[in-house]
Amino acid sequence: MRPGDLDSSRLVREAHKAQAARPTGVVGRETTGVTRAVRSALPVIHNLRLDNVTWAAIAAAMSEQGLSQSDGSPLTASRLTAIVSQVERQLRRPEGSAAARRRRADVAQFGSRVPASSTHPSIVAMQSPGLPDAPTEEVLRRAALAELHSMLRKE
Amino acid sequence: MTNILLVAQDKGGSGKSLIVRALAECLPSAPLIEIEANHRLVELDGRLDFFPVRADRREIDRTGGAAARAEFDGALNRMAAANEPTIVDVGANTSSSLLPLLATAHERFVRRGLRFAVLVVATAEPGAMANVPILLGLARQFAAALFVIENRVENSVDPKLLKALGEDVVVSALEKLTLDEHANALLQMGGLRFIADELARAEDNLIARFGFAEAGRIVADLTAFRVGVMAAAAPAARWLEG
Repeated sequence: MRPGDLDSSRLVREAHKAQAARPTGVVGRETTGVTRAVRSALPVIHNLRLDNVTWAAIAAAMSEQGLSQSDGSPLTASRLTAIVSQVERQLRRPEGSAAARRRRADVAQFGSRVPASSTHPSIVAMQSPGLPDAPTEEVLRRAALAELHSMLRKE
Repeated sequence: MTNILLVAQDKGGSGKSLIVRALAECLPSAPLIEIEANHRLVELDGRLDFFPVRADRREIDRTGGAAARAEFDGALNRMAAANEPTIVDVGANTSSSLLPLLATAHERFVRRGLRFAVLVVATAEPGAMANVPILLGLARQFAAALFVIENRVENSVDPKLLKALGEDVVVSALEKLTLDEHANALLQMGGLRFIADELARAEDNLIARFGFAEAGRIVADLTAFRVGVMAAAAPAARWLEG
């Protein structure tokens, strides 16, 4: 085989093998437990940010539940914001593709009607239980409160 | 009679939990009941009973709706057992379901020596403001007193809308207060309780962390903020105290 040529059969075989090793899902490869936890807890994290809870407090709360960076160091505010941005981008991607499709007059618009649902959103959320390592709102609030007490009482 | 004050607003983000916290400051020995999807008032543990709402869907399916009917049983039982002034934080999207149940059971509550008032938080946000007369209408069926707190932190509510709520409604206002950025962050972490309990004693720590000038602003801003919110809650707190 000349340099620059590819073995097509081998490429197909190894690509399938590599694909099979990746978890399936709309948001691609799961990188770390932190990414998975952030994705699961994203609505809670958004709510806490709306309440002006700091990124540092949220990161500390997640670290308290055993989540850490890949090198084992505690999750930092900057690492958490990076992961949140990444997860938000991943979640927007399928919607972006769908929106582009909806703008095309030449493409059949399947499933454009949203089925009516009488189920309250919070109940819908409960039907999709978070992963076991996702911190709850209560846990994050308790961690923020503990951080405050620690800050105020530090010698 | 034992007084129970329900704090309601079905739209989230209205400042309702802040008003509940202010009532808790006004009556520091009053127990609280939190009816919410998630336990939020964690700094008040020890004087608070939390009742999660939204029955588990699988349980509703399994019981053919019985679980949904029983969703508020824990909170109703706790209210029925009240023997001192009690503050009830009714979570977003919950009041429209809970208030009719209280109206239905009103006579039974009265026989147990219990009397209710309802405080609704109003903001300029259209969804929140539209919810105010709806909740007051439900509350009029059983409440001995009605209160509205106009939360002006974002914007003032049109005075005509407030006047139209009715002459039986006691209206007070939470004025817009500017908070130092770090003061606001501390407020979100700890609610109002730490301001009276710990803030003044922690000034040295705050100076070490934020510098002398900002530490002073943090203490001053948070102290003024707590007083301002308590002033807005005062009419309802006076009723609650009897």
